[in-house]
Amino acid sequence: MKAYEATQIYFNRAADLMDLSDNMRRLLSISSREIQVQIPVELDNGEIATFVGYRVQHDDARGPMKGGLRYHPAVDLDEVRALATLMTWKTAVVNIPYGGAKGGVAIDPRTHSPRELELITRKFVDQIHDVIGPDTDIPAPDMGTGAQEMAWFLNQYEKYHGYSPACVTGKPVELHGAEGREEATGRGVGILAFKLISRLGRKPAKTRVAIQGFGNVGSFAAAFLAESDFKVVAISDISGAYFRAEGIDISAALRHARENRGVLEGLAATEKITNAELLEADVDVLIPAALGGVITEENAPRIKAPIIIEAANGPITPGADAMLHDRETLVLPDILANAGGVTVSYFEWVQNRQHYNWGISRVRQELDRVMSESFERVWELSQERGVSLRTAAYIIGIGRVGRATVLGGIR
Amino acid sequence: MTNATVSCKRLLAVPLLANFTDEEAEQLLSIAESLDFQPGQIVLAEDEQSSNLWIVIDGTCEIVKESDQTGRQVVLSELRSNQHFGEMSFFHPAPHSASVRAKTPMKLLRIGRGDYEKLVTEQCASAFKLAFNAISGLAERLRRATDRLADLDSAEPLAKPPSEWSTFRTKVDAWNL
Repeated sequence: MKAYEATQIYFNRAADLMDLSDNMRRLLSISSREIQVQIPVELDNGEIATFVGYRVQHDDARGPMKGGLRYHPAVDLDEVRALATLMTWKTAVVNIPYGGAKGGVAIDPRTHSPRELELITRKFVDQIHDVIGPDTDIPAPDMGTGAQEMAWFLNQYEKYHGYSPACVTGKPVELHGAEGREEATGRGVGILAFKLISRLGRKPAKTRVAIQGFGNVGSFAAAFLAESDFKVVAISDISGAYFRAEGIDISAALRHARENRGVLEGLAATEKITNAELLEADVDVLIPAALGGVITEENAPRIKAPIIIEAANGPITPGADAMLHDRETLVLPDILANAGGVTVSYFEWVQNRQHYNWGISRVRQELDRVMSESFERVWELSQERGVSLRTAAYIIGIGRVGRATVLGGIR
Repeated sequence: MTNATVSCKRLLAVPLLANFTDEEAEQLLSIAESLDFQPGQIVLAEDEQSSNLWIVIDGTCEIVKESDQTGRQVVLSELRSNQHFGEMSFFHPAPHSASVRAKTPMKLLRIGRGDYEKLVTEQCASAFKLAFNAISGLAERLRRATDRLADLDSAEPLAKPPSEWSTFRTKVDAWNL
């Protein structure tokens, strides 16, 4: 199943409950604008390579559109459209004044030198700078991109439009970036995990957590959870998964990764297991924080965790989601679970426009407020209506976007 | 089918002959023809053309129209004794917009346009009064039709179903997000 089809399943489930007509679903679903561009680059070896870039601007009823820029070989229009749509509901669920967008370039960044990545980024900006901007569409880091790409992005955009630090977020802290942006998605996941188990009357110290992925999301989620007294018993990255029943020393793991080019390989005092074993581990909370589509109808029956927090986008396929729902596994959906990133991107954008640096404690405090309020609203609605947390989140997202659309009008 | 079957006195009870003197009624009767119809017989056929003014002396007839969509016949109304029909074609020749069919045994009085014109040429008061009375009736029907159109026009916004836009708004608002 293609990514867009999967997100539309969830959209339609909520729209069914809201009794929305086909015409209104169409209005809310079809992208505002979809762009495909050519990115020709002279590689280090003298070859001319032509890459394809995309930017999908899904909806701007609630504000300028916002969404990451992904560098990954699997990027195509369908995936970018799906992710742009998710951004529309996500920004609405956490109630920040943005619409949804997403972009990407179909490349494997690991096979390119920094010079090539810089050229690709600048060329992409050349192709789309006219249709983005601080009041229009604000890109951010995503899979395969980080603060460096955002710095190139900003520099190239400013060549056309002059000083515009708010044209992109996730910038280096030294270049109009916000403290706390890098950790934001993982921290948001951690805040939500804490909220959720508190709601269920559990104590962090008695909650065993497995986290798949130890990158921008997983490592910060692990750090926050360990600091909050959770027992993180399994972590993983491309080198494999690592398990310790008494809880892994996360600060040691972070140090180990820092000293080993970001890889966990050879992590001391842990048992090496496979990524599949991590997903099926006997834990209380499972946090898939790496790729989409890792929990499928094939492995869903073996998942033991009663709580899954979707830190990655779409880690559970719709078929597996239905099976988990039937088994009463509690799934905290991606459009809420990983919204910490876009929330602090919003804080970065606000600081850029205020020309005022909030500092890390205010960023963390405001993130805590936004995530907590959003969680409470989703939880309440799910309880009131007897629907899953995912359906509740979609209803809130669709409802807020729908309301803004109606108030603004289409004339 | 003789004039003798309708008396002058009987004719004076017909509203179309309001303000007629006995003499004027006699004039009209002299050019009119009395006809009998059996139930189901067609007096006038839709889409055909004729120029006669008909007065119902006895019995009931139906105004029938073929429905465009289904071809089924729809009864628009009924006419009883002392009422008249055919005046539109009488004054302005055009195919009949509906058929007239006898519902019961009927006696009708037919005034042909050609015979009526003889009365006009002779400057008979009966010709003038008949035209005046027929026009009064037509004017009244035109006014009622105009009023109905005006009613339809003003009732339309109320009759319209709520727009998709406002329905959507109501549904979204109901979630109180």
